Amino acid sequence: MLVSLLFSSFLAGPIRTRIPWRKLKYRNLAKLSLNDETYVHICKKVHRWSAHCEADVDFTAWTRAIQKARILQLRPEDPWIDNEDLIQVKRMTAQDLESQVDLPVSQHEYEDTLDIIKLPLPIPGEMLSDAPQFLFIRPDEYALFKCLGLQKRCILTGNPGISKSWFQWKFILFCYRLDLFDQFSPFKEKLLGDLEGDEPCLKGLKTEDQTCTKQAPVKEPKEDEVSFKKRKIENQTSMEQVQAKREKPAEPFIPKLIVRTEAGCKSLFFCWSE
Amino acid sequence: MLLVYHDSNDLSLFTDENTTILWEPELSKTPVDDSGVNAHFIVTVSPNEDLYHHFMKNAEMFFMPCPSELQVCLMGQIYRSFSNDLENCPTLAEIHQRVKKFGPYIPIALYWSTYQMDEFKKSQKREIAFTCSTEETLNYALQRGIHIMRRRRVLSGLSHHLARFVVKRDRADPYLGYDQIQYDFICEEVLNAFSNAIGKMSMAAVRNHMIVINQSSDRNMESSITSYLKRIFELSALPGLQWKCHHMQLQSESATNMKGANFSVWTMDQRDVGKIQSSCQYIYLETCTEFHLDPFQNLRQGDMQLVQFLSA
Repeated sequence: MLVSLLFSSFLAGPIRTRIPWRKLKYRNLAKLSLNDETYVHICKKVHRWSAHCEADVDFTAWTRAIQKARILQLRPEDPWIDNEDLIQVKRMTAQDLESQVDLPVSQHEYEDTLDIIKLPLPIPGEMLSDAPQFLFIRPDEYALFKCLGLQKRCILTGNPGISKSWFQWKFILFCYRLDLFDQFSPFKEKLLGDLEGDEPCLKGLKTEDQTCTKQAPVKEPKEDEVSFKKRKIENQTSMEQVQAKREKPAEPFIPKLIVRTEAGCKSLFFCWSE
Repeated sequence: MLLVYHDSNDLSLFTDENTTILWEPELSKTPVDDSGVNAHFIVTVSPNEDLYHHFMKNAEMFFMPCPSELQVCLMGQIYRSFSNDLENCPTLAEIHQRVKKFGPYIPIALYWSTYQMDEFKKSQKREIAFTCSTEETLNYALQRGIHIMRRRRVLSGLSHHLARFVVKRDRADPYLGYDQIQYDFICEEVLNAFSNAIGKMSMAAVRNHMIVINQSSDRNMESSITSYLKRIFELSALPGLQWKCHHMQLQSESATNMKGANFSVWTMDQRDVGKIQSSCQYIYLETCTEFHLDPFQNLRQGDMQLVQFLSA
C-alpha cells in the first residue's frame, strides 16, 4: 500500500498547488504544538488507519498568521505594507485602473468592484503565481460562500479559467476569519452577529437585504432546467431526498475542520488552534 | 496542519459531520467519491460530468459566473505591479483586447502565450464556422438547453470557446440565483459572429426559431434572442432602417445613470406589437401591455427582457 501511495502521489505530482515534495515519514506530531482536540483526534485516526501523514510547516505558519492578523482596510491609492501581522484589503473600482480602458457597460453592480486581499504570508502551494500573497475576491464569491454553506453536497462549476480552484483558498480564509467576511461581504446580516463597532460596508457595494437567509419556499424548477436535472434525480430513491436537498438551513455551515483534497488522495487538513 | 496521503475511500475515516471537504480534481480523472462520508462536500470542478456524475445525484450545483472585464483588468494590474517579467505581462489595453477576442478568462487575459492564444482562436473559429454553416445548425445549437457541459467526452451545445455561464443574481432566491443555468456568448467577437450569421437568415428560419423559443420558454442564450429579434425587425417591422439592440439593466443603480439622450428609443405600442404578430405569428414580450416608453422605470427583474430599438 505504501508503494502504491508513493507511486500515485508521484504520478499526480504537485502540478497546480506545487506543494513541495517531502519525505514520506512520520513526524513527531507533538512538535506541532497545536492543542486543539479535533486535531489530536484526527492525528490518532490517521495513524490508526495507516495513512501517511506529515506536518506541513508552511501551511501551519500560514494559517496561524491568518488567524492572528489584524484586518487593515487600505484606500486604493495606499501602498501595500510588508507586515506579516496584517491582512490588508483594498476595494478597487474602475476609477482605480492605471489607464483608461473602454470597458463594456456592466450588467450588475457585482461586476463593478474587486476586493484585493494581501495575506500575511503567501499561500505555500501557489509560489509560481506572480502574486501568491494576494487573493482577488469578487462580490459573487462572498455570495457563493454563503450559498455553499447552505448545502451538504455542493458542486461549484463554471467556465474553465475563472478561478474556481482559487475559490477554495478564499473559502478557507473566510472560515478562519468570519469577521473579514462580515466586514466586506455585500450582506447586511453578519455571520458573527451584529458586533459592536462593526465597520460599515465599503464604498461601491450596497449591502443586500436579509432575504438571502430567509427560509425561502421550495422553488419550482424552470422548464429548461428540467432536462438537465432529470439525470440528476433519476436514480434517487425517494422524493424526500429531493425535498431535503432543496431545504436549506437558516445559517451557512461553518466547519471545525477543512480537508482540502486533491482527488481524494492527497489532503491538507486545516484545523483550528486554540 | 497535516498533509496526508491516503486512499479516496479513507476520507470517511478521518472526517465527520463537522468537516467540510474541499475536493479539487487537479488533472486527475478520478470521479468524486463521497461514499460513506458524512462530512460536507464542496467540489470545484470544470463542467465535466464524468468527474461528478454519481456525486451530483445528491448535490446542489452552483455556477460561478465569469469575472467582468473590469475585474480581470484589476487583477492584471496587480500581477503587473509584482511581476518580474514585465515583457510577458500584458498591459491593460492588451487585456482589453484579449477579453474582447477570447472572453474573460483569467489565464488567457493575464499570462497565456501567443501560441496558446492562437490555438484557442483556431478552435473558436472552427466551432463558429461549423455552427453557423447552415440555418439548421445555427438554430439547433442555439436552441440547446445545455452548453459547455461534457459527459463521456461528448459536449452538450456550444463549448466554452463560444459560451459562458451567467448568473441572474436574485436576492430573493434561496441561493441568490447561483444555482440557475443561464448562458451568454463568451465575448463580443463571438456575439458579432453569431449576429452576422443570424442577420443573413431567412424570415422563415428566424420565425421557426422564435416559435420554438416561445413555446419552450427556453431562453438560456438570451443574447441570441435579441439578434433574432433584430433580424425580425430588419425584415418586417420597419424595413429600410438599421436597428441596434441594447439590453437594459434591471434593478441596478447604474441603470439610472445611463444617458437616455444617447439613444433614440422607438415606441413599441400595441399597434406595433400587432404588426409583429401579424408578420411573425410570434409574441416575444408577454408583458407587452406594461411595456412603456420610459425603460428605466416600473420594471422588475423577470418581467421581460427589454430591448431598445435604435435607429442608426
